[in-house]
Amino acid sequence: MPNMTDRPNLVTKIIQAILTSSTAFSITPGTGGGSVFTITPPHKLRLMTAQGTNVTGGTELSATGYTAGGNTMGATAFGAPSAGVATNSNSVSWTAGAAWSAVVAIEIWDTSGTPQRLLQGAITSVTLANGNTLTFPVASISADASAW
Amino acid sequence: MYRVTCNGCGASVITPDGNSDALACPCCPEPHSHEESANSCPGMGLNHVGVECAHPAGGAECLAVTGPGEDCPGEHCHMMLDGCTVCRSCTLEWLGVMPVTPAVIRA
Repeated sequence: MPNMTDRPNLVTKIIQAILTSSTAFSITPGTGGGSVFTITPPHKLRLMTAQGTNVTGGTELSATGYTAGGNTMGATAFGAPSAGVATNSNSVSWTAGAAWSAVVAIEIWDTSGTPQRLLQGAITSVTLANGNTLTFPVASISADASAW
Repeated sequence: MYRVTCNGCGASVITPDGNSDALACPCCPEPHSHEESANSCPGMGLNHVGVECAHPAGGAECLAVTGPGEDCPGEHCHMMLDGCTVCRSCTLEWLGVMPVTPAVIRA
């Protein structure tokens, strides 16, 4: 059976809605289509000392210079998808106020009253010394519709 | 991969793990004793209560967190002060594109 993902259309639209919207919105399914769900920007980037899975959260970094819940990715976290791929619109940085444990993964959450984890992925393990800054530049994080 | 850049002189190097030891710039690696500098601070053990910080910024950004009566952890000082532990602070910049996958759960 051929791949049934309608990447150029529906999936891309959903990704753009979730990752690019700068204001909260809800999707209300029709009868039998499931529950209403709301996505609330701005999204936040979290640093993890243990990677989770697509169904289980990882372990968030706890360290001086890092605020639990992560740093904002800006009003519009990702740009509009191009060929089904969206990348982050703004750089995100932290400066360690003490030696940090190794960071091995990232997660992206919205800012609902009960935040929702939206995306996760591994990075090459990195350890910060006191005073060092970790930066994820613009377009360094990608969400590809083909993965959805 | 990470680009590691010295915040002092701007020298940079690309490393697989962000290890700043790979930086070859002349900043910081002069031999000095952090402990000696920390122990000479007049505010040591007092969190600067009643004792002004020697740094021109007045201690506003001081990293010392030593409590009264506690030994200084040797991490005292401020950028640009002799003995500062962050005198070669670096910026580690993630290079490349990191794919992330969907993962929707509640906290």
